[in-house]
Amino acid sequence: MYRKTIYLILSGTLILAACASPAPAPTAIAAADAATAAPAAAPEATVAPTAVPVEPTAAPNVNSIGKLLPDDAAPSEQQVLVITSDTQAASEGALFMDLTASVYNRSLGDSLFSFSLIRLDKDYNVIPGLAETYTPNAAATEWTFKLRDDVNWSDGTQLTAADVIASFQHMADPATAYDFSWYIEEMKIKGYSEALKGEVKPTEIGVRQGATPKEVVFELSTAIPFLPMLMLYSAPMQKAALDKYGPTYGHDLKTTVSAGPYMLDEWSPTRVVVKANPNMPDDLKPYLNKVIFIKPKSELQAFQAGEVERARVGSGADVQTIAADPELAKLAAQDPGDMRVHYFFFDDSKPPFNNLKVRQAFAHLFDREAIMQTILPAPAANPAYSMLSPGFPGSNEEALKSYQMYDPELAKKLFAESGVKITSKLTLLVRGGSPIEEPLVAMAGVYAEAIKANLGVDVEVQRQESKVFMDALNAEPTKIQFGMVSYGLDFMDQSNMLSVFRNDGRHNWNNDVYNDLINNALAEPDKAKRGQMYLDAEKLLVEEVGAVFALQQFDVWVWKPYISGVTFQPGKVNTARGIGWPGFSSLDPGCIDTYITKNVADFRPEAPQ
Amino acid sequence: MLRYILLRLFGLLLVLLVVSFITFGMLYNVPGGPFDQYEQPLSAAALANVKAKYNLDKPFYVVWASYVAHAARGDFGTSYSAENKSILEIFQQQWGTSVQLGLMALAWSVPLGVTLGVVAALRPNSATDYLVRFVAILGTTVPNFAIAVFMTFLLSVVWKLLPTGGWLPIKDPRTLVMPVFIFGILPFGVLVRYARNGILEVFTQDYMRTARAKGVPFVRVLFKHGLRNVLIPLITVLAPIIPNALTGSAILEKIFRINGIGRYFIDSIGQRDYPMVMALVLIVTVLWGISYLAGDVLYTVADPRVRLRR
Repeated sequence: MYRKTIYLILSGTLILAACASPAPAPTAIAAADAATAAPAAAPEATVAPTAVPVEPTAAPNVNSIGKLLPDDAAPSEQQVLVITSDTQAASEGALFMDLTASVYNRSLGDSLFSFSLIRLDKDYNVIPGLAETYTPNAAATEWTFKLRDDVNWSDGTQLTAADVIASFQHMADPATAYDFSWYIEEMKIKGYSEALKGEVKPTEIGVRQGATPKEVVFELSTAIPFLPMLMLYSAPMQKAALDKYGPTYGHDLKTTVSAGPYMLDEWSPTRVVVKANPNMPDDLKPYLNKVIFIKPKSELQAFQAGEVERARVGSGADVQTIAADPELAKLAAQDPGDMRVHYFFFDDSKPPFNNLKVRQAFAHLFDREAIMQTILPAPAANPAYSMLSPGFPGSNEEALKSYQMYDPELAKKLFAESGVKITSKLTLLVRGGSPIEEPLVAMAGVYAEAIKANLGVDVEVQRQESKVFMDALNAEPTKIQFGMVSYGLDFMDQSNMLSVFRNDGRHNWNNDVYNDLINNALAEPDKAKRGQMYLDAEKLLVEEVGAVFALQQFDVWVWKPYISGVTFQPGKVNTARGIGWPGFSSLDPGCIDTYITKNVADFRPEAPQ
Repeated sequence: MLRYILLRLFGLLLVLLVVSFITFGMLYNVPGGPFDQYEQPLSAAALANVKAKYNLDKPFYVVWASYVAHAARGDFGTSYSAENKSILEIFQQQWGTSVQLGLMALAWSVPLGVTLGVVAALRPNSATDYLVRFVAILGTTVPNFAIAVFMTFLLSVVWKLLPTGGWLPIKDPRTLVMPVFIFGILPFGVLVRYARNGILEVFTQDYMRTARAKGVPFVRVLFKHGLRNVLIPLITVLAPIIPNALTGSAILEKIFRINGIGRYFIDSIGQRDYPMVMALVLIVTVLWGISYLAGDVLYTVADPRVRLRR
């Protein structure tokens, strides 16, 4: 009875005390993280529950998969990014989500569901990807890639060498008809070319498991010292899903599985949404909860309307829009992209271009500086004097400038010395296809005028649909006498860009010395010697005018100011703010370390859906 | 009538054969194949694999015959750009959106076009007439992509009222406004002109004057004698408008990121996606054939003097 009375009195006192106490204390405790705030608050409450307000301990800012966000990051609910596709190759309606399934027919939001064996950092350096180590044998004819133990598929199964092997066998299978097989052939994997021809089974190519299920061994037919760089396009598909559903399994929510930073959330031909993959080890978990990919016809307009947060400045109209808007111009960043070089080429097998002096005369008539000032102002392009742009390993452009410098007087002299008379009109064919190439027609026109004015040769510029152009270029013998085309890197080694002019490349400037230099350099283990071989080869290419190198095209992007990340910061080669080539994909750490900063609140009230 | 319809449908089958042969023959023989690479060419062996996989290693008439034989059984093949997915699946998933776009565009443009055409005709050379004709001429002469670019700039970029694209009828109906409006402008303009000219012409006829002189109320004269006689030209212009609308817009679906089948018209030609081009051509041919047949049948309803005979 007494006990009950005491309890009642105590309870009443406590209730009265609670009613009289100021509001902040319980609010503060409630707001604080339960795990950290409760023990700290309890003693304070015992001594003076009403008088001392408790400082809230801020809940850690973690994203939807529990990854701690950087200090300047916006709250988790804002960690959503809407971007346009990275490459022109991405096409609405394509179903392939993996590069090992298709390169030229990829869906929006591709290459995020597994990691390649290696990745590239902002400055195009090789960094570990799915493989934590890659070791050659003494002759560099056999490479062992050790896969990370902690990267596995989202369905709980282990990612093993079997997945990598199955993916390479898929790319070797004639029934697959893999559209990037020429690139895999460059790896010189034993039996790969033979498998394409149906001479050996895809299961017999030189890709096998090593000592453990997490080791893959590549057996090569010749030494390839730079094989890790080539492995940029090696992100495996899951063997089980590939066997069961085929190479498009990634685009369907019922069949998709991921061992990459993101998982599929929504797929339609015009809009793909991926979400953070919680099954990744912490260093490979992304900051962004979701990324939405769309492909507006006018990316810049969609950017201005606030519907996308990264857009390509593509057409001439876009460049003008940027130039006319200082605020927009501040957001534009010039990115070397795939270090694409545009050049003029000739049919060297027939007159008049089988004459070196004629080609040299033509080479001295392209006025890069004038074109840069009028048609293609920075940041769209830079003058090019060789195939390897500044920033590319082994670039030697300064030393090679004199061979193709604009010099009309020298051009006239060389043309006269050639003794060649060109009486019929030449047709300069330009590859059409994308809005980015629009200004190039005008550029070709200026070149044609210079040829007419200085050499008296009539040149008509014609733009040709991409497929018709490439069909004519690749015909044996080529059907293009005089043309303009471009080439961008697939991997960061001189052999990639220079192989275009090999005897088995796409042009008929056939030079055996050049050819031997390029082929022998492939297997040369001594880096210095190898570099010198490429320097010699490139000098030959420029001096003998395998092509007239015109300009290096840049990718120009605009990014909203509330996006940040380690990769996002300017690098040494790619000095632009943003994520450069190979783009927002698992080939690049930018897809993991990019996040939305706090100032997003000034631009968008809530995350896009 | 039934015999006539059956004969026309049989004729349509022959038309389909001829159209598919010509289309396939032209496309197959244009330089550049579906698997020509933009950068480095595939090796001969790899290219041979691709051609064998898609049955392209044979002369075009063999490939065409094989295609027609499969199509007759309802198998239109697989799009080269969407492996593992049949064209029928793609159509099932995406044609509905094109149909929605077309129906919505027709839903405003047909009644409004006819109504304003009549209104303009009733007050010829008035301010209303000039305004309606101006809008109609604008609709029929300015290409819809130009209107789309201008409207996107104004309504999305400058005023930020509407999104630049997408097709989310439930989630964000604002996405429908520009494509539906722009897609309907051309039929609107055409119908205004035909309705106006038709009414103007009908109103000069003797029977109209007689009816008015007899004291028949104006509304009755307009609807019973006027509009009834304008139906024939209206049916004539609506016959091609409807199949056009129902197969989506090649340009607007691209500009506004609409997940329909219209955008395949341009893409699939550029990509030399033969099965997709063939399927689209056959569908358009069938729809046009049926629309014209329906138009001919409707003539007999609109004007009992018309007899269908062959």
